[in-house]
Amino acid sequence: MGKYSRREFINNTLLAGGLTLASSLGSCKSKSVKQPLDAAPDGPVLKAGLIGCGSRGTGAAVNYLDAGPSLELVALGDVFEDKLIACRQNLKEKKGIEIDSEKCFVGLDAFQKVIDAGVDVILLATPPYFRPEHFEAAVKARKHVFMEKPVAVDPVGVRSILINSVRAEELGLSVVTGTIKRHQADYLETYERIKSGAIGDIVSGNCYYNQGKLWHVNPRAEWTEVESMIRNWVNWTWLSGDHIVEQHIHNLDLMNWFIGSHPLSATGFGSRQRRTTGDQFDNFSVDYIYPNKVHVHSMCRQINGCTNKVSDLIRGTHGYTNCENTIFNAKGEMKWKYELTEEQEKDKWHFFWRAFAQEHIDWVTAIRTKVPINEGKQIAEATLMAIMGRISAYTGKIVTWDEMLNSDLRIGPKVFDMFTTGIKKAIPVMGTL
Amino acid sequence: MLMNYKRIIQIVLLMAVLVLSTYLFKQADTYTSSAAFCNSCHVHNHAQLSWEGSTHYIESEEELSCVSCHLPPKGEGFYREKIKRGFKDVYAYYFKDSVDHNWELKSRPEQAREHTFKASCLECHPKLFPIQLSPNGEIAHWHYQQHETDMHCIDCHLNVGHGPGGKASHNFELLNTTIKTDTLYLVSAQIRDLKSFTETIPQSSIGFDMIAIEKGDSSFFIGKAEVSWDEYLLFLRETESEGRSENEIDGFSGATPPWGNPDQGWGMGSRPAITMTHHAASMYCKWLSVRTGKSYRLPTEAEWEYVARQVITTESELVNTINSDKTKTIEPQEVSPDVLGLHHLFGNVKEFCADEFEKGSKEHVLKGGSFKSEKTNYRADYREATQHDHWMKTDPQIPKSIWWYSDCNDVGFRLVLTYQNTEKP
Ligand code: HEC
Ligand code: HEC
Ligand code: HEC
Repeated sequence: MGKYSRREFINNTLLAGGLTLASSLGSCKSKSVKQPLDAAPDGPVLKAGLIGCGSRGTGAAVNYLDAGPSLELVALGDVFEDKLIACRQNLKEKKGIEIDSEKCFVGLDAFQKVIDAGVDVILLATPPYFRPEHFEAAVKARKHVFMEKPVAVDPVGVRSILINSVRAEELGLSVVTGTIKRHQADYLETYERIKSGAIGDIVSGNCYYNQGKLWHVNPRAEWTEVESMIRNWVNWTWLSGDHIVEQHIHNLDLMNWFIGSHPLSATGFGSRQRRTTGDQFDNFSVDYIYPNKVHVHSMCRQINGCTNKVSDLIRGTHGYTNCENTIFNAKGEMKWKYELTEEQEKDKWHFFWRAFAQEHIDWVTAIRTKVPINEGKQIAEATLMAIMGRISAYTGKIVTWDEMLNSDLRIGPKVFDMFTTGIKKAIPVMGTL
Repeated sequence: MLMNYKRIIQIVLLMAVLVLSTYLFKQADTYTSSAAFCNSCHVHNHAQLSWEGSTHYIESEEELSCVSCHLPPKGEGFYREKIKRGFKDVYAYYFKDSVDHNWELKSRPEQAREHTFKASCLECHPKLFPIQLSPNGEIAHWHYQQHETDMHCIDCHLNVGHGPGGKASHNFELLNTTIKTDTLYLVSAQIRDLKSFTETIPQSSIGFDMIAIEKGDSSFFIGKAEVSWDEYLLFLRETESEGRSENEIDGFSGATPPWGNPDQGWGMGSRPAITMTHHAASMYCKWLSVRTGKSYRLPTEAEWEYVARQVITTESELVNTINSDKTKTIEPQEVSPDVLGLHHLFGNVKEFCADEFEKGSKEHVLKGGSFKSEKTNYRADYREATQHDHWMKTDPQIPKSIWWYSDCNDVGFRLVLTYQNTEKP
């Protein structure tokens, strides 16, 4: 029978009473974090179609092809022919594959043609403005979907993603998105530790995407206005969602992931100091409030010549973490660090590049093992969170989650072709909206 | 009541099947689940007939019967509910007069939730977003998903089991009803003195009566009856728009089409128009003012009470002037007019007043009670508040309508017009 000594009893109670911290910190590698697979298992050939042939699209296609055996890319679609040609050329050089010209489609309806080209899975990598429409079409055609972040530029788009994510789930489809941190081994292990109490209850977070100016493309006489805008899409809110949505979403999604919820409101501001193209801001500062009054401060900036910092910090009742690979106690002493192999030690970007491949490995594995994964809801929530911050900064007013979820805001032209003109180009002025 | 031989057999069979017999349970279960069995003694023949006229009457589908909806799916309390309900049915059949049964009441969503099981709907319709679902359906089902715990499918699909119209949708037909053209008024009424008069809306066949109320310097006219569907539909037809902004076009941006059946299937005509929001009622007054060249408005609470005090002195006087039907609105002419000649100042529908319920509140005062109210609340001083958010709960539109309450079927309004004595020095 039970032979508990008094001492053991005291120890056990102590543990139960809050020292779980020590146990999880102490037992280094013992946690059974599922180690990421190196490659997806083999299976019947999976044929992919790529929609959006820019550099990220081409990158995603290569990552997909590298994810495991019997994976093929058979169709391409883009609104611009030059992008498609470049992508086709790149794939030929990098992967030695030639896409049948019968299955290369150019134009605004190219996406539907790719979906109908006898493919099993779809990669979506266009500017986010187009994502809701493309995702809906892909899911309704029962295709598994990999889609780049973010997934919409306005609340109406987010809602469409949410609906079609449920539809995808009902159809047993797998949906993976480009929020790579969720597929990165070091983040995953850190997450497991935080979840099992390594820093106690989360009380606050900070996240930063402070960096220099991104690229831009100047308009050209031979392009219509819409074409110029699409080619310069990271500078137009209706196409990218603004940079808080387009880039900072990585960190915002991370906060939601670790905290286990989306925020309930946002109060922010931002401005346009140095940007000379498009209609976006170039800096945002937003205070997000989660349940239990947990605050997350988010900062993002695209201006040259300032201090750059892209990182995260989450503080708990017993310590804090950078979310990536290190856990500190409340005094700031390092308690745990993700152990690196020699090879990883040498390559600073090892996990980063690895994650691009990993998300495709995880996706193909889910499809082949018939254990669907569906990241649609989480990416839709992160997108909406970023949009909420943007709107708060544009208006200077507090914005709530419920308002966002029920908003009928839709930006950009409703229906358009390459000759549409008169797209709104006003830069928001805080306090006037 | 004298039980005949056949009925005794039936009751014995039912009792035996439901509680005693575990032997042959399977077979008995199949039979007692079939529509034929339900109807062998059920008093609700009308339910069988209306079921046969519904989308859910599919002859090839033997599995689909009354219990498909009226009992939870097997394994989720199916047998427990069945025994419970079985007893209730037996009891109701033999010990209560079926004429007493208020079937209409059981058709209302509040009650229907008790005898129609969401889990059963989901058993056959596990997908909320089938590929062919219409855009309306997408918004609606998304809304349902957000409020899954407090909503039931039949909040929107009330008619799935009985009769036509199982698909919920916008009620656009409402706005296309043909306009009567037998009478066409050319001008609105002229007011010369403080005498009751009939208002006529120019270029329409719509007229209504206004009763004079003497009150010294602040005399006024009050609608003889609550604003009717005939009157309200004219407003909708003339102003209908998809616009949703409150201050869009000079004064009255039009109402959006309602979600579902605003008349609750009770009929329109001279019945009071219902389910419009306070905002919509105010816009109606503005529109009518422009159409008639007068200044119609909602009554103040003080005006309403002033009239009410003359109408009742004791509760017993109300007996013939209020509706006895506790399930729905009735036409005003079905009751006798009160001492001032008004219909339904009390009962039928609660009436909006212009006043806020409390200073600074977004809710407004409602007076007079409705068909649902307790008799004791038919008093001049009894006041209730609108419950805006609660009454919008199931509206799945985004943003929610500013014109229609989705979840309140007993509010309407009565018009008031200030008397301007032009002969005064
Ligand atoms: C598809 C689901 C469904 C099926 C099948 C169905 N019902 Fe119903 N029933 C409902 C709903 C919803 C209501 C409430 C709304 C209404 O009255 O139409 C209802 C209401 C009722 C009522 C109370 C109101 C009234 O109209 O009397 C009775 C009694 C009833 N059903 C009996 C039956 C019987 C008997 C059958 C089989 C012949 C049946 N139902 C089949 C869904 C169903
Ligand atoms: C025993 C299975 C079954 C149950 C239980 C059931 N349904 Fe159905 N339902 C069907 C079938 C079969 C159809 C016809 C489908 C078709 O035509 O494609 C249908 C059609 C419908 C439709 C479309 C109606 C139309 O006019 O096209 C709606 C809406 C619906 N059901 C809602 C419900 C609701 C709400 C419930 C619960 C009260 C319910 N169903 C319970 C089997 C069921
Ligand atoms: C908020 C209102 C609402 C609720 C709640 C709701 N529905 Fe619907 N449903 C709709 C609308 C609107 C449509 C689309 C009707 C149309 O296209 O005319 C629809 C369509 C349907 C259809 C037909 C799909 C088709 O093939 O076109 C079915 C089946 C259905 N609903 C079942 C359900 C079930 C089961 C539930 C409960 C789990 C439910 N609904 C809850 C509003 C609702």
